[in-house]
Amino acid sequence: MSPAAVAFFGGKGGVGKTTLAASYALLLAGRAQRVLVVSTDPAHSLGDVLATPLGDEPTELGGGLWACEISGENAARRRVEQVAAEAREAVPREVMPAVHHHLQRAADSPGTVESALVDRLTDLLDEIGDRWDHVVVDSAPTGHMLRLLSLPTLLTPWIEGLSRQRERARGTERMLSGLLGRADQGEDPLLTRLHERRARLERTRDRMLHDSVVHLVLVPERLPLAETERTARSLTEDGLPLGSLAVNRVAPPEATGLLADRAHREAEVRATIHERFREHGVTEVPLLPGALTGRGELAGIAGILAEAGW
Amino acid sequence: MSPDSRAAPLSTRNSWHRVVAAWRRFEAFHDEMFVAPWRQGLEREARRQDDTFRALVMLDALGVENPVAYETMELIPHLVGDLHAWHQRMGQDTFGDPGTCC
Repeated sequence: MSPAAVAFFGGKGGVGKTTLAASYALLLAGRAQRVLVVSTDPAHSLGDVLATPLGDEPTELGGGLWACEISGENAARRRVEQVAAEAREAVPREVMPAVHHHLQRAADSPGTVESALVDRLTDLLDEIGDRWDHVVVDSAPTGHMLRLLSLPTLLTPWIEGLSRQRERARGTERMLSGLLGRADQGEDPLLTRLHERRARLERTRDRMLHDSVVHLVLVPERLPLAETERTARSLTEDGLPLGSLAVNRVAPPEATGLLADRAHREAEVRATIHERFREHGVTEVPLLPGALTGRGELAGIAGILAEAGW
Repeated sequence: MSPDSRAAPLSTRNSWHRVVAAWRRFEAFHDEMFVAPWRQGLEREARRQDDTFRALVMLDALGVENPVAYETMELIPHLVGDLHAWHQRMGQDTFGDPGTCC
């Protein structure tokens, strides 16, 4: 079976999501696939892990790999500028201060940064099959990732409701125009835009539900396990497909001293992880020496994933 | 030619005119009695539908959190133009913080 077009890596902060996401992207690229690895974490570390500076636009790193770090704040700001520029062409000049005021309000609205992030991600997902074959998403810590994944599903009905309300208003207006012998106003620009937004959200929602997989990353300790179980439940409830789990930084069994003590404590948690997540698959990545940055060092982890059947 | 043979078509024409005139009068009456109020009702309804839509898009301006503020940003320029007429219709002479409207 060919892997899903989109792979999300999620988990608690500091468990090694970025390292695993980058390694998985390298693994796919090594199989002659074109891969984009994108970080959505506001505290980006993808550039550090790949040992190269990254920006909002994908940088080609060679060997079929692209990488970028996207930001909801930047995407929201760009959109405000774009809408304001379009408005300058369409509305009287004296109205512009009020337009700016209302746009700023929308930009400061609580959900805006997340919506903008999903919107930017949609741009990149829309290029699957064109610029790349796979997109690997290095997500922000759990709560953030769950919001990101469920947002299109949550917003679509709202936009649908708005479209219906607009259609109703337009219907009454049209009836009135007919009665008064006025010409029909033709296509409604507001309704056209609402329909475009809905189509966009639906496209991303469908891709998340049907062509994605979520890999949860954790370290073999009790608290990360508890959070991983909660996240897995939420994902399943939302109908999002759960892929193999990655248990990172497993202490070597032959260790001595302090590490032996750690390995001993981990054994119990690891047994629980294997039991609970057997059906999804569990891959253990050993505690490795070195900083684990740059393609050379990541290749080692990519090899471990390949051996585990990723 | 008898006087009747010319009078007949004329009287037919006359009665036709009478019918048409009566129909027009009835139409005017009907329009005034039924269509005008209906049209006014329809105009009110159109405005109400429009106001509801505007309120839903501009929830932020009403102090209500808008979960789709980002998605509907493009609609704002189209709705700001007649915002003043809207809030006056809603019974408020001034609206929002300075800069929101007037």
